[in-house]
Amino acid sequence: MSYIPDDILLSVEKPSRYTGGEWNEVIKDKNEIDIRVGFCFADIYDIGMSHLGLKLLYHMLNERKDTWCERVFAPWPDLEEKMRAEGYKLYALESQEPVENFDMLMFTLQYEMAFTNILNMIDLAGLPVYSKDRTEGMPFIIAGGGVANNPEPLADFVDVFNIGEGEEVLNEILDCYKEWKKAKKPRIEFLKEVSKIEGVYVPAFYRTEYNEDGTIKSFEPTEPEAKNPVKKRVVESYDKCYFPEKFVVPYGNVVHDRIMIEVMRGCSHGCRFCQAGFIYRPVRERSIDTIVNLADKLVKSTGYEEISLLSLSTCDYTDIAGLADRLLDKFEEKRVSLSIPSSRVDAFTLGLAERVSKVRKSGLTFAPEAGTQRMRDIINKGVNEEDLLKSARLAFEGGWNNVKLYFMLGLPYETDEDVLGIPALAKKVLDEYYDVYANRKCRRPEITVSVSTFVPKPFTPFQWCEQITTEEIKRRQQLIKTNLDKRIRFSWHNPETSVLEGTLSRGDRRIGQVIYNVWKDGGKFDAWDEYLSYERWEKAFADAGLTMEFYNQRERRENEILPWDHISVGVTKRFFRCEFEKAKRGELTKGCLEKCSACGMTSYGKGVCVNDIQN
Amino acid sequence: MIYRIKYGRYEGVKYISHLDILKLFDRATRRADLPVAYSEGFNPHPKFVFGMPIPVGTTSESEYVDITFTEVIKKEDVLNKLNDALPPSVRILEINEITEQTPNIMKNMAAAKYRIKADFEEGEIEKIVAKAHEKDELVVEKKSKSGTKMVDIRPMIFFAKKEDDALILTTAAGNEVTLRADLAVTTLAGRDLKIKSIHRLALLTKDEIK
Repeated sequence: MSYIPDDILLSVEKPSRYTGGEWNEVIKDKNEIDIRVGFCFADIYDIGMSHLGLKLLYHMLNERKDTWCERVFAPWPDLEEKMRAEGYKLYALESQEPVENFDMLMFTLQYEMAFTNILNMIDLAGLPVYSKDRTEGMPFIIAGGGVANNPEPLADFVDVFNIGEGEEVLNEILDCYKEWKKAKKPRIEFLKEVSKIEGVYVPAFYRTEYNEDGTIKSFEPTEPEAKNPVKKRVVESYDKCYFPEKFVVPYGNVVHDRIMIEVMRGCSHGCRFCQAGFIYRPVRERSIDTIVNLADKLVKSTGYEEISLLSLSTCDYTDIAGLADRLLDKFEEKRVSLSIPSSRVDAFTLGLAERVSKVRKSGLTFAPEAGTQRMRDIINKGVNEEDLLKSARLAFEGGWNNVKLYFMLGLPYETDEDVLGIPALAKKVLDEYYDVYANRKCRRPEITVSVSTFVPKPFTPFQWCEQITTEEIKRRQQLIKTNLDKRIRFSWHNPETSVLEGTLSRGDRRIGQVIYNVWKDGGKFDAWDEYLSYERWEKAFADAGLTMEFYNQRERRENEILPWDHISVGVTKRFFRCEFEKAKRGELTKGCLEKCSACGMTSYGKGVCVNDIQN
Repeated sequence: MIYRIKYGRYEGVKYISHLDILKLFDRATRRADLPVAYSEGFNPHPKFVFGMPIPVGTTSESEYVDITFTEVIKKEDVLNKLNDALPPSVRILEINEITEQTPNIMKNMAAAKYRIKADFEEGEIEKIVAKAHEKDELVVEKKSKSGTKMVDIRPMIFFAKKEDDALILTTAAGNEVTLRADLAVTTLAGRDLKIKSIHRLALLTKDEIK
């Protein structure tokens, strides 16, 4: 039976989001377990069920006999309104029970624009949104994931952060919780105990002081258990670490509805804008045998028709061709296709593309990121125009007519000339198509230029940079639009979303008040253009006595204490600064596979740093 | 070879759409490792032919799908393997072999029989049953993409009876004309009923209507 009655479900969009019961969902007897976990994704089912991290940790936590982990998603506003009107609370899909009395709610933080949804979900669960207001018997709010690397904007709302890879530390947190629960100690004792675990950050145990100009004066632990810095966790052995052999298979349409296998973690290139490229270091790979074995089990257990090989840059996988061949040999006759999310321009080879599309031919994505060589050198994207055109030509010769080119706008030191380089480069790709098909009949080329806006992120060489304003973003988008060949499609990002992301991602603890104000004012689903209100955010900043400009439209001083300085991701601040200086000079830095640049990651003694790529 | 498979879809999957059912069978047959035939061409798809789509929210014990297999396989094997690979709220009920010449499942179907539960008042089901067997016109406003039009649904209501606290209602369902059970019952009741459940009991040919 569903928790929400049928007459309500029938009156909302896509009710199958709310009823659970999918293939491979995990049902347990709640009387035979010690810990009930709600694994929360602060967006709707369709988005959350596309996220590999959720699937991985869901099945991993359910391997424990003492734990029942259930999925919790944000209801779409049509349902939420009815739930609030009739007194229904946030609930978990599996048991169809409210999460109010669960032991823990774990949020995975994937994008800043979901912050208001986190507050909204905690509130809909019937719990106080501020950590300090939650009392004995209430669940602990745990958060992890990429965005948790700067935990400060959510420091007032989250009890415990997991910094870095969750596969091992989550189990340690649960073990610690179980002990605490058995001992019937007060809430604070769990926080003290759990903060002793490597990779755990309890924000309540730190105090920030600010200078008159708003910058941070000091950031100090207030409890002896609290670590400074908090070091991110990296799994003991990547090839051997947990990966699920089954996934919950949704009924309805979700964004990514396929088998996803993470084949590699980390990225060796060090593009200077890319946070993921630094925080997930060092580079490690799963062995082909492990991947094929997982794929075999996952095809049998899910019945999916597609396997996607995920990582930050799958074409860099050492023997990607060998891997693709092994998988195709095994699954081609079962009509299971292979896909690779995006392709680095230099790594693209026709052979690989053919393997990937052997069963079904889909579009290709190339990411030159910037329109001119000068700009690509500044961001350390070590590819050139020749590489791109050569790859595009190979693709066209191989029968593709659908190519997407991915660029970024507003990068540091970008000039109008660099912006105009984007339509110019796209035109050259188009010309290449007509050159390949000169005097021959051909399909109409479908070339798309997709331009996102650069957002400066913590733990990148550009963490000190200012971001351009919404007006300037709009001007540069227009510049591309007017100069782009009309046969090429153009897509772009909402400028206001990008500026808010830039502001929130580098926020300090005071941003918590802003997030609270926005949520109180009705803000939620800010990641959805139809729900985002920039004015609401502007007002919330003003009401908190803060400005977006302070966080986003100034270059930070070299000696400034950054809000995330107490978190260590392994790559050092000194290295980032050095890379920032090199960017200004347009100097390149080689990738980890070619030459170690002493980023600091060797202190973990893993993966590419010690020539032990599967560890 | 082609099997005509009769299945039921119950509570747990009553909100999933017709397209989702197609996907569900595609994945279930792959999990069951059944030799399903695929269409030729650029984008091959499994050879499934489904019966009439059922409105979201409705359960049923009379759904049909014709599946073509590339090799000979026993009925019992298909039944057992598929039931093992389907969620408990979808059950295979019956399998019959057909040929390419067998008419499409919807070809001879004329009606569907439903069991409807709602917030019926004392004596209301009896009134609805009586109303269902009257002869005068029963005009309703039917919304479609091209606008609304007035339709006499009387010829699409075949039979009604009371069974415990539920109404059994047979309405038109087929390639030519179909009347949704919820529309039929609210029109007969003459008020906005709060419907609790609609369950399709059977698809009927012209001769089977009673």
